[in-house]
Amino acid sequence: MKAGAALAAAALLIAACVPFFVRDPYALFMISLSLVGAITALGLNITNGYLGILNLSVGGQVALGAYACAIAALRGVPVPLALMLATLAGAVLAALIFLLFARLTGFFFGLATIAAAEVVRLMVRNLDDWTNGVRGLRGYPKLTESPSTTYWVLLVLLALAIAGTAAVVRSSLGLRWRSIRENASKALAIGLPVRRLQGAGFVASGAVMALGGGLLALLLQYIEPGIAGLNTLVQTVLMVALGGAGTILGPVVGALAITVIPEFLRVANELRLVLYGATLIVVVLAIPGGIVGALERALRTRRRLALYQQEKLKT
Amino acid sequence: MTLLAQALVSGLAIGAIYALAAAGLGIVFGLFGVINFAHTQNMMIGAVAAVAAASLGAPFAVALLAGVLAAALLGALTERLFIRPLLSHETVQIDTLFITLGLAIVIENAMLMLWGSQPRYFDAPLPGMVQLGRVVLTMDRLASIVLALVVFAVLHLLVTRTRLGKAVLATAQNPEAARVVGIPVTRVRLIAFAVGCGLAGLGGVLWGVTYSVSYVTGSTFLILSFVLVVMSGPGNIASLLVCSVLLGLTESLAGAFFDTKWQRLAVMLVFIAVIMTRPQGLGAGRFARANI
Repeated sequence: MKAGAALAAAALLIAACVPFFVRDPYALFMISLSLVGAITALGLNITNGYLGILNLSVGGQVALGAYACAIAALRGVPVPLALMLATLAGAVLAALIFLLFARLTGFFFGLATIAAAEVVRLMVRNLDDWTNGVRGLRGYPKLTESPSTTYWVLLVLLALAIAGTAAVVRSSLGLRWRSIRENASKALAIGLPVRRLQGAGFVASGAVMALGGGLLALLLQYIEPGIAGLNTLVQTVLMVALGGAGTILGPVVGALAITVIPEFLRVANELRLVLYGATLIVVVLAIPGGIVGALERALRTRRRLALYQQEKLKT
Repeated sequence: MTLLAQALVSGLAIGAIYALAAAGLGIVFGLFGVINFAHTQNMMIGAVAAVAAASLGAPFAVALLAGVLAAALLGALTERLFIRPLLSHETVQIDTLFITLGLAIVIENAMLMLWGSQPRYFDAPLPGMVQLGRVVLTMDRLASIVLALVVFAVLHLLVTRTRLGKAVLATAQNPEAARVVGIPVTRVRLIAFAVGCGLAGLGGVLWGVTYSVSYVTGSTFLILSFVLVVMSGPGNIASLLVCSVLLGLTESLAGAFFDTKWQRLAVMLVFIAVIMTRPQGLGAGRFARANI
């Protein structure tokens, strides 16, 4: 545990130095973008990774957060407050989805959540007075004026999100979430308030994803209704699946990998989505636990092997 | 009054295409217990193949057939490469959902790169219209309704009257038992998958004839076909037809009496209302016995 904390502090320190080494503003922008993606992916990981609830409303949550934040900022609300509003909006939307689709079972609940994303997309497309329709919104304030400061703010927010996830996952609440994921009916049988726990997780997930959406809007400085569509869904799902669903760092690793690697390979923009889709296919076929999941498994095997050899030496 | 009648007729035509779009998804869910996220990409591929064939001078019937076959082929490949290997996974539903989500994105964006973003049009293969009093029904819409009716009638006969149909039903009910009595479950699943995707291809061609074809044609129907499967109760084609017509009518009535930009939202609201009152799907009650 102590080693873990030291490692985390060291990683944070190294990450904080990135703006001193990355001089190219575009590169720093892309890295900042991956931090935002990581926050959204952490949100999705709560439901898809820890609770075992299929949640396909990502696009809707991100778009709602983005528009709530941009519209508030355009109307003179200070940026931090606008972000809080976005988070709150996401929580409300998630609560609404959870209540409306409450009677759908498992898999069907997941399929229905994509309809919620579609409702958000249609709303932001049609409410022209607020959202400027398909032309999109621009001209609202930035997170901060300097790209480096923006990066640091995002890094702090991401660190808080990771620490928050870690705290919850290691608490008894996290244990209860995982027990629901492993066997919901057994969890119910031993007296866990399954619906309430699921609802709380779903709302938390929606709030975090909407916060990611708000940050995305501030970073991109342009948003349009397409944010609510399939591309956001596939990117975020890929971040979680590639990094490792149900691991604390998985979504972060996934977000970094899919944002930075295509840049590094200088992949054309149209090819990027093809690459994402193909990677998702490969991950499902070949690395079911994701990168972090595979590493954890390998580590565990090595530790067991070492223990086994120690035992053998003793006898 | 004329407006209402006109809206009802257009709604029927839209509902017919919705039914074709979603039927295969429902069949696949009934047989495999999984959802194919790339299902409506078969519509796009079918429509694209048909447009390509028509532009090469093929008569419309041939182009239509080419579209259906292209979609069925893509379906067969999807099953063989991406669904079958995952059926033994413990988390098969999520895995297949994600893998086909990846596939959908690949197909759509590959088509964008190869074909461009410009919509293409058929060269009016079904001109003319039918007049019923003051209500006008264009030939392409009439063809959508009639073809959908014929196809679903044939499908119904296929399932209820043939050995293949019985094999499909048995596989849907209990794949293990079906295997034990000698039904080639794997092949039955492959055929049903391909047929379902062929239906989507047909829907795509008909949609393309009435409107236009582009690389996003598939995504346009994606959420709608999900909604239809959830709403109708999976694996129940009769109820799927009812729901498709319901949503088609909703869309066209909302367009006629409110504003076309609120059509899709009206459809979603109807879906949410149905799901809140009947979470097991419309088909679970009265239509339940008309399985597949």
